[in-house]
Amino acid sequence: MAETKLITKQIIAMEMPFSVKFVVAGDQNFHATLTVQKVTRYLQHIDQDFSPFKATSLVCQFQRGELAAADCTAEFQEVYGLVMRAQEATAGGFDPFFRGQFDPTGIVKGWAIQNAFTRYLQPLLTNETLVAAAINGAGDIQTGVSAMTTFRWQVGVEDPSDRQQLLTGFQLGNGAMATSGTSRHGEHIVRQDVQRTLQQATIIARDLITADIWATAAMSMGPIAFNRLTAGRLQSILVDQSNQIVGEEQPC
Amino acid sequence: MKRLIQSCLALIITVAIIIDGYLLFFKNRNATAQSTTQTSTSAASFSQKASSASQSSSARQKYQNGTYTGKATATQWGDVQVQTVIKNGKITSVKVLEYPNDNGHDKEINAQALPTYKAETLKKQSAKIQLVSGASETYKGFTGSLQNALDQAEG
Repeated sequence: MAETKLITKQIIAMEMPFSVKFVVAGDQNFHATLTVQKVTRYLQHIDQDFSPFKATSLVCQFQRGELAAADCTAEFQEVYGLVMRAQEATAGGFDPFFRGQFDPTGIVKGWAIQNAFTRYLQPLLTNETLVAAAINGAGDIQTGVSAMTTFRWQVGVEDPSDRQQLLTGFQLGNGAMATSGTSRHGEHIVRQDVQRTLQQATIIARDLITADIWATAAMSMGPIAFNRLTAGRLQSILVDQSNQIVGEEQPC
Repeated sequence: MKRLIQSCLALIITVAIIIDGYLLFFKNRNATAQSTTQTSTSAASFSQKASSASQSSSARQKYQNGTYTGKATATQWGDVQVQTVIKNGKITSVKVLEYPNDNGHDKEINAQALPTYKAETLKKQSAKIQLVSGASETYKGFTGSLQNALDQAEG
């Protein structure tokens, strides 16, 4: 395979770190600044509208019953529709109501990253300069590669008991990986599984919205209900409280 | 020449605003027929289906009390369309419309089956890793994380 260069740009949005990565063909030059600016601006715009911590966000206005009809944007409607679909598809494992209030936070980051990727990175993968691109937003990853390349992203899953270590790794072309867990900030998912079997759930899917929703759902449901519902149709890395990977699926 | 174009543009915009205002305020009853106009001119793309509007409601209100249907948005889980109840210009409730052609849960899980990537296990702490997925959620969580270390190493 031909030589490639990896460019990494870190941005801060939603009070979180995002790594935007580009793989450039060895004999080509790529200036990432403009693209990174677009991604940053988009993520900041989504944060303004959907942050549960900003009183002026559409989500907070809606929670207070103060969202003006004219401010119910197409994006707001899309997110609302998506999270309700997700709740249904996961049999309530993904819950868009936190303490009884509408709160789509569980999907907004993944949704925004996927949209940013589709809008600003994907179109660049059609020329000879860019071989691959990816966005990692605090563990939510969307990757893409050009049709011509054999390059694959090497993606690792963090060990929840030691975040300097990897539990396992995969190769992704056009795909997504999301991880949900409790290791950093305690419990933030309402558990259907009263045993709280899982300490971390990672899902690999074609798109990040799907991976994100099912990672959250798996944490909530526990491995038994999750496997029953998805019947092995999603690739998952589920880690239990004793740091064992439960029912590990063999990669294809 | 530049001034002429500016004047023309201003005139066109003014006319568009007047027409839009007219359609929005006075033609709301024929919402189905007007919905294309409404969706292209207002940020909130609703068309009104049924209205219990009181005629006395303020003319400044863009939306009369009633139930509005948003434009369908294509998502990877199929089209989603929401119906909104609006009272005094505010959203009081939202519900997602069901599509008759929906196949229920299977569709949403099946849609993601058989991903196109090829996955292979890698050795732990492989130096070749570029992206790390974990449960970190804040900037604090990121500092000192493996992803951060990798990014720094790349320069």
